[in-house]
Amino acid sequence: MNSRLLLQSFPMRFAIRTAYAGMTRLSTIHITVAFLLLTTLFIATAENTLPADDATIVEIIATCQEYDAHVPWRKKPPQIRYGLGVVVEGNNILTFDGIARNSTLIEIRRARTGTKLDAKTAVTDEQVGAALLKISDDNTAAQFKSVPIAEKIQRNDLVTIVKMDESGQFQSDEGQVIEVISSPRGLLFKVLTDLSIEKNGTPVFLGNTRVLAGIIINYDKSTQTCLVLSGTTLKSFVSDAVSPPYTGIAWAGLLWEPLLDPAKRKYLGVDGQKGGILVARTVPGSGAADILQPEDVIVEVDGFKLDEMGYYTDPDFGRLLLSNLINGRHKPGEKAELTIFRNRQKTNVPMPLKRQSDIAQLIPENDAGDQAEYQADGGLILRELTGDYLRSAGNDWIIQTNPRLVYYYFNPWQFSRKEGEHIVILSMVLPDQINIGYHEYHDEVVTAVNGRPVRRLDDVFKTIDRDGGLKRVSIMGSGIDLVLDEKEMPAANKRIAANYRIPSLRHQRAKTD
Amino acid sequence: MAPAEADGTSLRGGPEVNALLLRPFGRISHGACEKCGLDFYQKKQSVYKRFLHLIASCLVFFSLSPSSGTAGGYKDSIVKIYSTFQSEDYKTPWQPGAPYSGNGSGFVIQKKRILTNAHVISDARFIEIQREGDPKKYQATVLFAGHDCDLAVLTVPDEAFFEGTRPLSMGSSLPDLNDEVIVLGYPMGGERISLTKGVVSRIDYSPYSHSGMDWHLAMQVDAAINPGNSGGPVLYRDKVVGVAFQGIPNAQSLGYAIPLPVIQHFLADIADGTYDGYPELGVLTMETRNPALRQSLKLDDKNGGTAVARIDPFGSAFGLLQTGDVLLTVDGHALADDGTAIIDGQTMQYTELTERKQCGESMKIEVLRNGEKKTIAVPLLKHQDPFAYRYEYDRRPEYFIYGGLVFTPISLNLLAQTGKELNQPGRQHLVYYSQFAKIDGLYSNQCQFVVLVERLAHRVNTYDSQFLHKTVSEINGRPIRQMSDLPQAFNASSNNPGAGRGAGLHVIRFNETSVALIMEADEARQADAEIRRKYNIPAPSYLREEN
Repeated sequence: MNSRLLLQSFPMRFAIRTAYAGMTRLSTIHITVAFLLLTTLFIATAENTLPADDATIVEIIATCQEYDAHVPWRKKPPQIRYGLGVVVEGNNILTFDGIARNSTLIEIRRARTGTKLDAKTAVTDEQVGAALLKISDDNTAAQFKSVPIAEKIQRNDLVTIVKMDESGQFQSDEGQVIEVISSPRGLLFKVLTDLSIEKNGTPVFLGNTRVLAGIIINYDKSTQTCLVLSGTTLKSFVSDAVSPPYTGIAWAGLLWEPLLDPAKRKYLGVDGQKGGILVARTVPGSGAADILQPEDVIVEVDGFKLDEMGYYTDPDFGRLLLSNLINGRHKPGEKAELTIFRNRQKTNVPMPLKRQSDIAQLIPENDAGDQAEYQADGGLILRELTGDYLRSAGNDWIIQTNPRLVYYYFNPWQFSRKEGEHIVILSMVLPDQINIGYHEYHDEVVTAVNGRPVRRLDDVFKTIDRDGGLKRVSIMGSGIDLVLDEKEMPAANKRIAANYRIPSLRHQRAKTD
Repeated sequence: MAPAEADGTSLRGGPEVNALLLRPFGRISHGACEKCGLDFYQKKQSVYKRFLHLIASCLVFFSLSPSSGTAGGYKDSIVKIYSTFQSEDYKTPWQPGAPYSGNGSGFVIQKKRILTNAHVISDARFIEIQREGDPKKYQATVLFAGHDCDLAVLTVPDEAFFEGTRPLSMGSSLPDLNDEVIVLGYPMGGERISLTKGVVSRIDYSPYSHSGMDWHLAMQVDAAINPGNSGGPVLYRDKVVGVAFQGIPNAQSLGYAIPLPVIQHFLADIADGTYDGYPELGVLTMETRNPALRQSLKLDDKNGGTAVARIDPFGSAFGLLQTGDVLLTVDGHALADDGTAIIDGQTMQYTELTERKQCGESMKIEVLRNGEKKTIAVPLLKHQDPFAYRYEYDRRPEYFIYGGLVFTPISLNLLAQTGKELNQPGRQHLVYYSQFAKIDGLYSNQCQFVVLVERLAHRVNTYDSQFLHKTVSEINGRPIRQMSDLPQAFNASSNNPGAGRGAGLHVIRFNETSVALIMEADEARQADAEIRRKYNIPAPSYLREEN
């Protein structure tokens, strides 16, 4: 582990100015000697004093309590997450989004002090992977100094990683940007480092400055490589976040494949062309779904030519994947101009861009860790299928979980191609007198409730409210409904809630638009 | 058996090999009988844990408690069977698997026949039989093999073998719990006949691991099972009441035998010279315990009756029974609301009544349909269900190679040999199809799921790795319903409208992706000769319809 010296130009200049001012007739030699003496002084003490850093880089200690993805009225035991954050515009703290998820208490700590200061989440975006926190007390906030964010970090640029170790010391390491990566979450870059990065959110600065080039979101020990969320994306995120409403990053909803196979290019009639990628599928409800069809070949986006693997040449960043043409150059609500080949004809189509919505998918991932909505009438737990529910079975979830549910997760279009539909499942049955004979049912797809078709959990809520209770549940693959005694239901619900200590038999999120 | 043990590296070892049978998926029980060949997902148990009670090895262990020399009286009845096997390799279906050998036991029954387990002789290339005390080994041949019940009948062409043998006779009824039985056979630990004693500890439905799909009655005895005991008789008062066949690794004092009713069914079946197998009623039932459910089905307050939740499209009841019917009596036996009935004085699942019937016989079922009682006769047909995935034996896997792309149908053998690799997004759909083909109506488009199982790398297919393990839906505009559709589809002129744009191109579409695999027809034809040479492919295809 190297602790390298970080020479700051500011104190140096200051020293020379004072020296010069105080001695009206110093010769060059005197100034040089003074310069060298001061340099030595700084070298000797630089390891211990970087005054600006502890006012700009803070430790974040977040206590969180995640929901139990499988049993939706339960929460897991609280856990503490640690990370680093950087003070940016308006005394906000910029960090990675995972740290603040489902937090019950967020505190920040200045280096080499034990005092914890209260903070709150201002804006968080799981798609970008960044979050903005705000220190609760304005007076305490005043001690911190914000740093500017660089807009352009290119390949081969020199950067400095500054980490805070356990004892509150700052350690820094210079490195070089080895790769700039365009991704659906924005621009990222990679840096090699000798430092062992323990906390996400560790800042990376441009050159020797304190201009933020990015924050580390992943560190691979075996290759000593940091994956850094680039300042380009962060700057955009921060300026969006400090001026509500938050707009987010643009998303096309396009699933594409490289078009390398000469036979396929011949089939599509683009063998005479260079470059272009194949549209495989579009996500229902997305901008791409409005205007693109499978087997379209996209050759240009906003006038930039795509090669066969989806790369274009960016004037600032060089060879990048096409994602940056969408989320780096547009905002939701704008359009990207595509040049495509369709049925061997070249044509231009404008593609509307939106903000990606997790709940618009058939099976949402629930990266935000929200509590699952559910209905627990009669001990039958009805809820929507989500990615976190499937993964709650553990590492072997693909083979451990009901094959039908896993199949629809990987092939959602086989279940439904309509936007806004979700898969409602009977997750489990809490045994009670009212549901005798149904105790073995779990992970079944619900097709109807009280005889009415169900395409999302909302349909279940509406039907139950309209009918005054859950009476029958139809499941996929069985011709016989699970029937419940409606007269017994109120008493049974009371019994079940008390017996299993369920705080509420329904959880329904307030509707936001 | 920890989940990690089910590594699926061997489909089945020889009788001497304690092989773990991998079934990556299982059977559902919805609290009610599911003995109808339909596969469902079992509640709350992990896939691997579900097989904790799935018998892994195919041999019976008995704890050795030396007896008083009764073995001598049986030495003219029990035989030792030596088999050399060669299983098929479903992942490289153009080549045979590696040979291996094992031994099991058997016993002489009437008409110069020897009864043993099917798994003692399945996929065998050479079988020899030896009598106790006689050094000579005689070559044996298989007369009948019932893979759905793990029984087989052999004979020895050299009739001299049977001189001085004493056939064992079958018992007349099942023993009870705690009745003392003896097991004879040739387990590991020695070369000579071995006798062990135990008591009957349980009689219950169990999966038969040789088939991988079928459940029948199994008799549990409290003695361990050793490799080599397979096929040996279980005797109660000198009569055969079972054939030792399975065990559970890591369990203590649990051995399994195929009980008398299953043996009798098998022997009765082969009496006409052909083994027809078990018929399937094809009904998934649901228990009617819930009072609200009973009311909605118009059942009176008395208990009893089990409801039909699903009908197997390939079962005997298809077109005769309907979902929503409540089965009240079957062949005169009244059904309880959990599907049990009193059969021979014992409480058993009603499906035992079907278990005892042969194809061609019939069942008389009284149902309540929409509040009205009806009696329906259900003829039991020979079960022909392309989606009943049971392990195949003594058959070669089908395959078809074109342009280096190897196509083969989904089979339980293929899934078992794929093993843990099924736990991946790109292959999981194979598990789904094999379990839900009939439940979710996937069978309407095909009789077989044709899988691109391998890509023999060549320039012509070098960009096609992404299509591995996907199932074919159409080729050159022709729907692919089964393997035998492949040759014609590829012969279809690529110039025809359905073949896609661009002359001389094959267009292969898959169920799991909207992107097509495109291949130059001329290049593919030339490539095949090169590929066959490089990869040592003896023949470009093996299709059952042509062979």
